[in-house]
Amino acid sequence: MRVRYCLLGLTVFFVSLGCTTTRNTLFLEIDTAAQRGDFDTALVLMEQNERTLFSDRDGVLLHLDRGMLLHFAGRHRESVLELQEAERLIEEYFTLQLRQAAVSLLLNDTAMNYAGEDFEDIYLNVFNALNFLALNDPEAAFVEVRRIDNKLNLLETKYRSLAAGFAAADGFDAPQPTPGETRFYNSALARYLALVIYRSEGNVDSARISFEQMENAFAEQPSLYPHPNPIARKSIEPTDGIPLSVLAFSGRSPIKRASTLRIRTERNRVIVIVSQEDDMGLIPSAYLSFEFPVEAGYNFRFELPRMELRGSEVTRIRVLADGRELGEAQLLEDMQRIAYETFQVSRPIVFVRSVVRATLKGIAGQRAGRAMEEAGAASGSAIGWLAGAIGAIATDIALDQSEQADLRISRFFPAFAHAGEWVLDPGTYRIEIEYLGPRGLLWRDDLGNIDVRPGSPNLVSSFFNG
Amino acid sequence: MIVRVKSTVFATTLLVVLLIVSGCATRTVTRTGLDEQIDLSGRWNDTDSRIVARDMVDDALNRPWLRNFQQAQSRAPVVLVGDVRNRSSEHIQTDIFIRNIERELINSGQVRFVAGDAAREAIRAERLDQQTQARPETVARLGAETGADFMMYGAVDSITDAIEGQRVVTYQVDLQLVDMQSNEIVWLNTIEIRKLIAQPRARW
Repeated sequence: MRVRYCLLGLTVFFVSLGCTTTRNTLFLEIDTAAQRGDFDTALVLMEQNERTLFSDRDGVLLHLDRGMLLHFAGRHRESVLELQEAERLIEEYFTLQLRQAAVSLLLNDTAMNYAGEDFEDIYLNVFNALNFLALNDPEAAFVEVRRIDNKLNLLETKYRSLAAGFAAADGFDAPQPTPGETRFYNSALARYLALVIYRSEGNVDSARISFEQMENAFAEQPSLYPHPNPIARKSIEPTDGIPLSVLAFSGRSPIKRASTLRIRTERNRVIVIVSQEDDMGLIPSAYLSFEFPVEAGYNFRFELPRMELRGSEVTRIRVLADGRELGEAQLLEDMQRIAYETFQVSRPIVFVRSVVRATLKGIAGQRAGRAMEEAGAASGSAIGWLAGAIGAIATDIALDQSEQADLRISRFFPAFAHAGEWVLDPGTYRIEIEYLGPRGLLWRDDLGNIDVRPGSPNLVSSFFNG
Repeated sequence: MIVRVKSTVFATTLLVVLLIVSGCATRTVTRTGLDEQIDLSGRWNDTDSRIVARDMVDDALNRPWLRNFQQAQSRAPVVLVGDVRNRSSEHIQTDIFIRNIERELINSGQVRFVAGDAAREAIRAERLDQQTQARPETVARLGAETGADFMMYGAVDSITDAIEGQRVVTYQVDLQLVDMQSNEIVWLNTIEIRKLIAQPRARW
């Protein structure tokens, strides 16, 4: 009887901890509010559901999401604090907690602190720099740019050699980086922001270096930057007027969804069956098998995260000054592609970890279940038999529930960053940004009167969530 | 068989309980002396601000410009602390650093001191208000401010070198003292603080 109580307790524990709620469903209302530009409502909804949406281990996501919504709501000072807190937690969570790692071996990856992806760590400084510029504090924006620089330098030290090898190898036989190989270590968006701020200070050398680093981002990470650099070299030191810089963000960053996989065992072999519904309603399957000291006949399910791009309806972005079209902002950074590629890099590790965990946990659980059934049957009483059978079923359910995909990712970064520069005479201009889709105008963002003057970054940013 | 299941389940339950319990930590607060050096994150902190301000002012007051001025003018020089720019990669509250410098200067008793621009504006507005609102015998006169002989200003820079898990940050604080009349730089000093910040990749 004591065995059954213990197992029941264990089952409840697994179920309760394994219940990482379907965040994507809960976020739907917040997403809808954000998409119609009602960021204050989105923030209220997030606050009301905070405990459901974010666990204690999701502090980075909580502050990133809140920081971005506050940024778009124009509440820049609050946004700064949230993004700074996210940054502090990312630093803190660099140190892996072995205790959590041990729990995650028993349960799933959500038992670990979410430490943020590299791109999230960089973009939070980009948006904080934009926050400070909006607060008319270029010195603090400069601090953010220097933080970006330090972080990119660190990433470059880690990942550059491989990518530089790809870029240097010229010719048809040259190996090309493929998804899963490219590490994001240099952001053209971040470098452009640095260029604009250095240029406003009259620091031509640093502006030039930022431009060259931007060019490197395109050259060394071709799978992340397959498009041309929209910023010309002459923007380092324009001679014929004052540059107005426009950053226009569109769309929504990708989210993660769960794919269900099954594991079947043969003698000394584990077979992973990948099933996924496609647009035609078909269920294509992939098989993967590897040798593993195991008995035949085990069967259990587990989940893996997959990334779903949310993209943007926007096809063109037009910039107007005093009602006159200056031109179109061009794609500078495909932020969703960077998120996707980053995810792809970690995917094999997540896959192996999940398969091994699910296999070991499944075997242990099913053995325990069988033992319970046998113990129940051996008791000779109907109640004992029933308790054994229920215990076995509960163990199966608990194991299935605990093996959930880690779907955590920031949700309110944009999908695309577009940039454009136009040289104007000093003065005040009414700046409007028009977001156009295949069927015409989607959204006009009236930024009001903007002073374009020497010694100022003259950088405006705009956002359309569609 | 039952015994083996019992022991397995017991061991698993015990492990899980231990893992949960080990996560329950309580917060403690200990009051410390202000002079005690405490470094938590490795960022610029109040200790850095206080030490640099004290060393800077000590150095400034032991250089020839002060003696030269006292001999020439037979009075203590009037100093104004201007802007200290933050050119580092951290959000440093330079106004606290400026206050530290001002405090060290005033407490030295060797220089006289006038308020910085933000305080000056507020005082001028108040003085103007007094002209119409205060009793005549208590009104502060207009145009009777003490002009500064020297202005101190500078910047905080930082250089970061990092690999995964380790970071060396060198802060360089530059201050200079400029003669208000001649624009002559009469004193300048640089103080560097270097910090090695190591963060373990894993902990329990």
